[in-house]
Amino acid sequence: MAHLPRDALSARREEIDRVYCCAMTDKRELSTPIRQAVPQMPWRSPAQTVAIIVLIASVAIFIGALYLAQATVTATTGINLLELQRTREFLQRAISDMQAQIAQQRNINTLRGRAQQLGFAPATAKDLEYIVVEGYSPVRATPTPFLLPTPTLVYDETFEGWVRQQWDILLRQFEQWMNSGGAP
Amino acid sequence: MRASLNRRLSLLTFVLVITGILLFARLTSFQFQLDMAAYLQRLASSNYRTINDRFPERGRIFDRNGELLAANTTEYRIGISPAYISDKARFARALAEALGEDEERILRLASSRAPYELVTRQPVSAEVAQKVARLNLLAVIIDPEPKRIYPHNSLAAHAIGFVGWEGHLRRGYVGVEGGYNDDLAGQSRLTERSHIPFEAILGEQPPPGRDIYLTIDRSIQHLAESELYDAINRYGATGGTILIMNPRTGEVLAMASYPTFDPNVYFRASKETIRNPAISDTYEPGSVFKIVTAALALESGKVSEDSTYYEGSPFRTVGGRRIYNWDRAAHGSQSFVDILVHSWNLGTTWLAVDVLGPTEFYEGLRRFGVGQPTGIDLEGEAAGILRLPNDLYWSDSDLATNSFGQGLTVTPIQMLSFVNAIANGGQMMQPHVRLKTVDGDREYYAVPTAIRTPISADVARRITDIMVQVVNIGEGKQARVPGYTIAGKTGTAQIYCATCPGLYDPELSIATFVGFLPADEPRVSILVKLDKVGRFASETAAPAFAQLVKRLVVLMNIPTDAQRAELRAQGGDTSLIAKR
Repeated sequence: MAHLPRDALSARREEIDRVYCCAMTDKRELSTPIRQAVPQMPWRSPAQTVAIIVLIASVAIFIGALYLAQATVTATTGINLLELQRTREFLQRAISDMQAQIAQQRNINTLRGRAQQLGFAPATAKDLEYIVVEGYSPVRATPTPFLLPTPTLVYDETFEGWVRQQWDILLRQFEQWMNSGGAP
Repeated sequence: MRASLNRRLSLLTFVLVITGILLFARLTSFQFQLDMAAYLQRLASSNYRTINDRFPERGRIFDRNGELLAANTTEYRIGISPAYISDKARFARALAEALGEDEERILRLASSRAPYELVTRQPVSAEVAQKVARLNLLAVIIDPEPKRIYPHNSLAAHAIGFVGWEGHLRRGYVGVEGGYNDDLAGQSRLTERSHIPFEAILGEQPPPGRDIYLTIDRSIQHLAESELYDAINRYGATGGTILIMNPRTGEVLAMASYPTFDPNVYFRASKETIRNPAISDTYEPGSVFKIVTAALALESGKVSEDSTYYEGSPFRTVGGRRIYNWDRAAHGSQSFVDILVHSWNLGTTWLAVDVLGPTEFYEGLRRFGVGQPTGIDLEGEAAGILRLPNDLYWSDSDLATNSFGQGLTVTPIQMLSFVNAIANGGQMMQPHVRLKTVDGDREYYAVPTAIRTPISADVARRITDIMVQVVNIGEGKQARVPGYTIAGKTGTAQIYCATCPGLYDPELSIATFVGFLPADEPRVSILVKLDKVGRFASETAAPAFAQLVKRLVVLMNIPTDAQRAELRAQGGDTSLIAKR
């Protein structure tokens, strides 16, 4: 604000007093608009509003995008996990099936038939020869059942550790997101 | 101005009251454990999640050498979530083609409002399930359903048992499947399942049931079954049992019975066929039981191998009942050894009635475990019947008939256990079929345990010597196998007549042969029992025993007597041979 000369200032005060005094006494004067000491620029008010709206929208979009990205990553991971889980279970079942098939192929009747086809004949007692092998004992020691000590679970998490863990998870997710080129 | 202030105060009061109520409600929830969040979460979850009991994979059964005897395989049930189908017609066409089902029916199911519809009435094979999986349809749910299979079909069926249904739960019945059901079945676990396609609920899988390794040897079992089948056909028997055991440990190496069944299709077999005759069927053992009477007499110290008695008449009356020898003849002066070698009923009657008396005789039988189950680790063992002098239906004649194995009943496993006590220096080992249990990386071995010592080692050795004579020069001659010293005893037991109630069948009998070898270092004990044969055991069960032993010694690497002598001469320890 520019400095007004003393006389001009007094004149201004008088004018204000007069207007205010009249406003208190004369209703007609009251309807006179109060002029601002420093007039507002005409473009300033809508710009402020727009800026606030834009800011809020930006924050909302940012949070929404983050949420969407997070949700997408979670869903994708979920699908991948389910797929891996299914694969694991399928493989386990396939292994069991395979073992059963092998056992069926090893059926004594099948083996005997195959052996006969290959020209083998059942051995008799006369076909066997026994020899003394020094130091060899066909009696194997029966392994003693052993018990592993049961692990004792101790709760040793600290607040600091927990915060660090959460921070690490957040960082990891962020890095993952960055590495994926920001794609969800 | 005042009005504005009042309005603001009212608003503030309202906000404070609401906040207060919320805080109070929260406080109350802490106090009374009202976890609304969890409740609401559960309520919400119930719409898209179901909780199921998840059953672990059943433990497998192996023979002693690790050959799989009972395995698991999987069949699949195909279901759909209709809500996730967009193009129902296309979906139905694709699924119907993969499953070979009616397209109309699948379309109807796909149009349902239910959250889940089962498409296949019967489980489908892995190949079909894979075909469906390849369609990559989001709405299809493939549920695996475990199935128990027995790769060797009827091999050792009675010992293994089968898995059937008890309500909606699977359960093992008979044999190891029944006896070790808790170990094999494992522990089920409650798991959540989401109907949201991409929601992963990672629950821990329940650990599989424990694997059980049997003492049974698949090759020996197969040999026993094929020899039993041959013998039944050869001698016109209706059925039979062959038991092969290690008398030193009580391990059952083979347990074969006929008629048998295929546990893969157990529902086609009758109840009688499924029951394990080796442990569940009791019978009057007949003359094989004479070795028990003879052992008790020797143990009493009142007689020796040189003791004699006199048969002046072809029969003797005890308690109003006439007792005859099998040939219905009198043989004059006979020795203790002759009683077993020629299987004289009058001889064992003399031992039970005149030498031992009822008290000592029945005390001895209880020591052997007659009338009591052996405690073998299989489901469905019978105890047998032994009437004692104080029992209502016991009579004096029972003392005589019991001495030669009539008027009392035993199971084949009991009878062989009595013989095992003789083979094992007087100690009876606990018969068992479990070699070890494997739980993850832990193995729990069955420890051989002595359960009874009915006779001393000296008496066991002396009875063994007499049993060797039974095979070499007595009624068991047809059980001889060149090169091997075998201890054995024949037994032809009368059976009740089907057409003449209350009387013994004049034609048919149960033929049994029990024995062990090598007699001086027993490695294996065998019982051969043939049901309803029209000839003596010496002509049926004994040669069947010999036939079996000829092939068994090869499978079990049991050297001949000459080979063992030669090995010993070279400094070898033959007592270690043939430990499988």
